[in-house]
Amino acid sequence: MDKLHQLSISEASKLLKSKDLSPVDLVDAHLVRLEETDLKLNSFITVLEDTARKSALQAEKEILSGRWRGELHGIPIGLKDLYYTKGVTTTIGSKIYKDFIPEYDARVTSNLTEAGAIILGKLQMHEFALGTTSHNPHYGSARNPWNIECITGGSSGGSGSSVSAGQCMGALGTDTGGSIRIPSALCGVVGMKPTFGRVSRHGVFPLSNSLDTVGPMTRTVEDNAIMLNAIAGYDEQDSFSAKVEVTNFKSNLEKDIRELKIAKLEPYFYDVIDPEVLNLIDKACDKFNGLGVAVETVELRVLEHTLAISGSILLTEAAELHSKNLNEKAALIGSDVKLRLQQGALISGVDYVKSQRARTVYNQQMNELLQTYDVLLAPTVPIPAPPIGQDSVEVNGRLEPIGPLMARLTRPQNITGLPTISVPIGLTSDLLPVGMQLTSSAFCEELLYNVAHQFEKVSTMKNIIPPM
Amino acid sequence: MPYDDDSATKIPTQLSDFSIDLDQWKILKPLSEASSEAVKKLDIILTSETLSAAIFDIGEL
Repeated sequence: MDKLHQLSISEASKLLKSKDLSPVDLVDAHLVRLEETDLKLNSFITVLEDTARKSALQAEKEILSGRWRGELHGIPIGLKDLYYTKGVTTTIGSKIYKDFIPEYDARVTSNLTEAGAIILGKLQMHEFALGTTSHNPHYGSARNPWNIECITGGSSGGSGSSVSAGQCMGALGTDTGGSIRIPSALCGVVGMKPTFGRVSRHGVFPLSNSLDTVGPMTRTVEDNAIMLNAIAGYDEQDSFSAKVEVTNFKSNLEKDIRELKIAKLEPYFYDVIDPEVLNLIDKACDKFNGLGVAVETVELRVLEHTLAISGSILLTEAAELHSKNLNEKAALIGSDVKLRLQQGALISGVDYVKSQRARTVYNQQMNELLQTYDVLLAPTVPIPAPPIGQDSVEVNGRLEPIGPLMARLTRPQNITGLPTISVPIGLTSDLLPVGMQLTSSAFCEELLYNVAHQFEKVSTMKNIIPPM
Repeated sequence: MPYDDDSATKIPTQLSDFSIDLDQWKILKPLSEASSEAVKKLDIILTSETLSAAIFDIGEL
């Protein structure tokens, strides 16, 4: 076992449980991998080498004495740098918070450490999570392991990059307009945006109260379910937390999916799309057909209002949350993020409320569709990862600004709050990963894991670490 | 110059709370107008009975 960083969580977990692998060796292997690659990738803002080694020793003692805590015991993971970690700097990717040290752990930080996971460090992100490139003026750009000249996507760019490169076995991101799914797609990993309210946001630095969600990023679907098992559940300290029963998200992975119906929504998801992404989506639909699943094309016109609804809600809520920073410390905020916050500050109360009302209609129409179809299928990002620093990209002969394009296809599921998983479906001719997102009714993450796992079995993109 | 449109060279006073200076106002004004136009189009799907309750529906499922 000389390449421990290539193991999936489920593979490593079996070896740890049977005492054929030591958590100390597993953590060491990942710290070595991190040291070898992070000068190129810039995935981490803070590395917790000493505490990770101490935690690994503790895990080893516990497992050897028969106290195995579960599938995350001894597994090295990373946290986006907006999860509160007691006594550890949490920057939110911002210069303003460069010395901020929380006095308590986020609920999900506690969930993961109680499950025995070992935190390797805090991960790079777009400043305040308000952006889709993870180009950060204060801490540098996160770089894509598939091509270090390209962006990771964002805002959870360090999470995508570190998991993809084998620096850690799983990570947490947050998703307000696509920030888990975009870097998952561009870095070739699996990312789950759970149902709004499924996972506590207590101790997670907010961006937009009615859109923010917390979720895992991993290299396999099963690993993702393992992580969600550890963090899902009601928490009275998050006022939007849902009182919904949590079952084992792994329990239906092998269930037969032949009776399911999938809808491919047009025209919104396909009106601006790179031909290679479209080709891979068509191939993914063929794979589902091969699995005996019907994929039908359905027109849903309300999606045309996505950017109006999502933009005004997200930016207004973000501007309100950061109003003090904008007023008193604007010079310390990066220019792109400052502009977005100021844009939010200019949105009228009338427009905000109108967008929230339109959201009701939007959600009703999406939910009606899910009475007929089990799963909605769409590309995650309409283009593969563009080069770092590039502002626009040509798609089918038209020049498109990269910022809005990145989140164009992921925003609908934040408006609805519906659970959505992004899974890798292949590589472009330039060897850049492409992702597909699958959406279900609220609180049906088990179904998504089932469908994604069955797809993964006929895919070539499971647990692939790019050569670097 | 009574016929000049001088709105691009004047900043609404309350915007200083958001550190918007003249240069940024020039960038933000068209962005803000475009956003407002997009929101106006939402009237197509709204009726006076439409409530703003979307996010709470999910929590109660």
